[in-house]
Amino acid sequence: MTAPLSHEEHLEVLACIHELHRCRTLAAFPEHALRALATLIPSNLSAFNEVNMPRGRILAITDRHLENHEELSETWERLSGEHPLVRYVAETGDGQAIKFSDFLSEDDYHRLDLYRAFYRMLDAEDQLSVTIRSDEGVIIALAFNRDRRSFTESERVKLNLVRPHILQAYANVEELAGHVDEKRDLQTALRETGHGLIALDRDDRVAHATPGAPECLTRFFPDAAALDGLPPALADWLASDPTTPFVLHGRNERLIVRSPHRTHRRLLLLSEERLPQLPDRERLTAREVEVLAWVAQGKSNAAIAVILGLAAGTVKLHVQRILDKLGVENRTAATVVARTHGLIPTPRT
Amino acid sequence: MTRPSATKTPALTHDEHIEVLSCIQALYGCRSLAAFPEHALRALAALVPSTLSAFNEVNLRRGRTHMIMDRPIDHPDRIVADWERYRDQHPLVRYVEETGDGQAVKISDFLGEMEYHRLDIYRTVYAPLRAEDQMSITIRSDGGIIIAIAINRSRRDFSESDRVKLNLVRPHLLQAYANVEELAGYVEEKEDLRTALRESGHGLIALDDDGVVIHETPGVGDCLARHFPDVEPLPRLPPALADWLTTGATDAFMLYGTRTTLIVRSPRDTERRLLLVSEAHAAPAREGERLTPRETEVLRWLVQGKSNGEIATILGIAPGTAKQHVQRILAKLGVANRTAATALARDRGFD
Repeated sequence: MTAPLSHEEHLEVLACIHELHRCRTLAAFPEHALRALATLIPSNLSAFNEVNMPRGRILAITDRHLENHEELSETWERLSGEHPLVRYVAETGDGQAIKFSDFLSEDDYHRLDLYRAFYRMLDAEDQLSVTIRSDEGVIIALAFNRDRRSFTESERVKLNLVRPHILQAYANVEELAGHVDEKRDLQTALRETGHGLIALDRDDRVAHATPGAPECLTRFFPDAAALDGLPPALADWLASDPTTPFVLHGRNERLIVRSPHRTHRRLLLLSEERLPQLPDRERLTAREVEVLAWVAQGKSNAAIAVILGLAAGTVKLHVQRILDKLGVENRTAATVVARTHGLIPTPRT
Repeated sequence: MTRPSATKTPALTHDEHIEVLSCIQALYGCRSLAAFPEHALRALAALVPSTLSAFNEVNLRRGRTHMIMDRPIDHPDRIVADWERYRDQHPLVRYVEETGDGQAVKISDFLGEMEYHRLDIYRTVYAPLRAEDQMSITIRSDGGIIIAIAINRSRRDFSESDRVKLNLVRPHLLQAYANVEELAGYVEEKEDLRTALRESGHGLIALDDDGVVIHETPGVGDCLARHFPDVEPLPRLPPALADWLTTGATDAFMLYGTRTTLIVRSPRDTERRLLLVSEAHAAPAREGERLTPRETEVLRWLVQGKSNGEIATILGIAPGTAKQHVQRILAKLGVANRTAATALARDRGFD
């Protein structure tokens, strides 16, 4: 016969449930849950246990520090076959609140090796426990221990009322943790590809960014930190034609920004490239740049001569001078260097 | 504007509390921000029955209101427009605006029936909806935005128990909403990162300590299936990749296909084992003139501006062989020189 709770007791239950759902990380959940339940079910020792039946292992997180924690765990594992509550859950799959005193008289309990070698050391004369998960031989349960057989039916009712909320809160925080980890993996992967990401909201303010990405932007736009929104050059580019990458040349590096399409969001994909040292870069003449542009198109000297209306010998001379100035061996290398330094436009890909 | 002090708050019975608890559980069970309004209205409907309930987001500054209702109404656009026009008359909105108090309040706390019926907002909005009384709780009220749930009835019959129930549920409504907002933030952020990663030309597979796939980006499974047509698809890794991982995966894994080359890298010192999957176009040549894997490799260096001698050194082949490869590449691509080959290769996506 379950005892109805009073209004005040129900308020305690509600406060406990609220506290359970405030936990935001999976790692903190066990301690958080024990703390949330401490007022509702006072005990002299409570534990959040993960029992792996096939492996015969227990991972216990307790609400207070225990000396020789490992030794205790080993003892428990050795004698867990005697544990009436674990046996009940393993056999029935029922996770409702149950206590030692439901199954064993005081004398029977005291005769167990599990009591003599384990629970007596902890002054645990009775234990009330709820199971929040039981599948594939893994049982996750909360156990409350007292030095007297004093658990009331009201406490059982309270724990049973809270139980579905512990399940729900645990499932929610597990899901959240999955998203957090996946986000971290995606960020790591993006960094490994040499990219940073800045996502903008509707008002072009930063919604989120990968570590280092805003700093990268500030290096190329020193005034950007002081701005409320985007650097004007980037804003203009976004407004005009963000299908072509935005390229900004610095002294020794260049910034490439792309804006992949995504509904509701504006994304800035940043990559920074260090440029090899370029001797005499400034001394390429306008005519040489023109010749270089055609070289990059794969035109022969003769073809370039026709296009530019020059003698073939003159073109050859120009090309030789370009190679010398860029410090490269051949036309292809000249093209690569010219492109990376922005001397000629990068072709669309 | 003050609320007339209510009669002493009554205690709920055990059974009423059980109803409160199941409502709360339903609230925390919602996992999507978009679904939250309807989810919350459904959860509350079982607790405090109504003729019409609404989840409202009122933007006081922009003068815009977004209403999600638990059932269809006639002329919703006109109703919302009139509500917006006469919003200043709404005693509950005014109360929340002035006090910031989000507890359950009802129109009958503030106005007699006659007074209420004289309001324009009653005549244009609430009379057509047969809303003779309204009880509402506010979930959020900051930055000029009020988010509230309004429950309407065709008679003035809200009880003090109804008020107590709503007030008990309210902190949980706030918490559940905040939790689902946080979750939605991560979902959005992940989607942005996936888009960025795809744009960078990469797919991602994350593995746990036992080499089991935990998550992957869309399309990466198809990409692997193209290169490994005869083995089981993800979540099983192709055996060749699994072998590469067990041997340390220090160098990139390369698989030269006829059209594309598969490149898989596994960065060091990450929280989880990550596989970065990308594809390079391996055969910029026309159909029937495909480059061999070796020629593809030579072309890769040629595009970088390497000389025959350098390519020979890099690939550990004789300079004469490198030269021969280059000649054959030029022939296959149908171009006269290395630069033209590079331009053509780049045009066709070879980088």
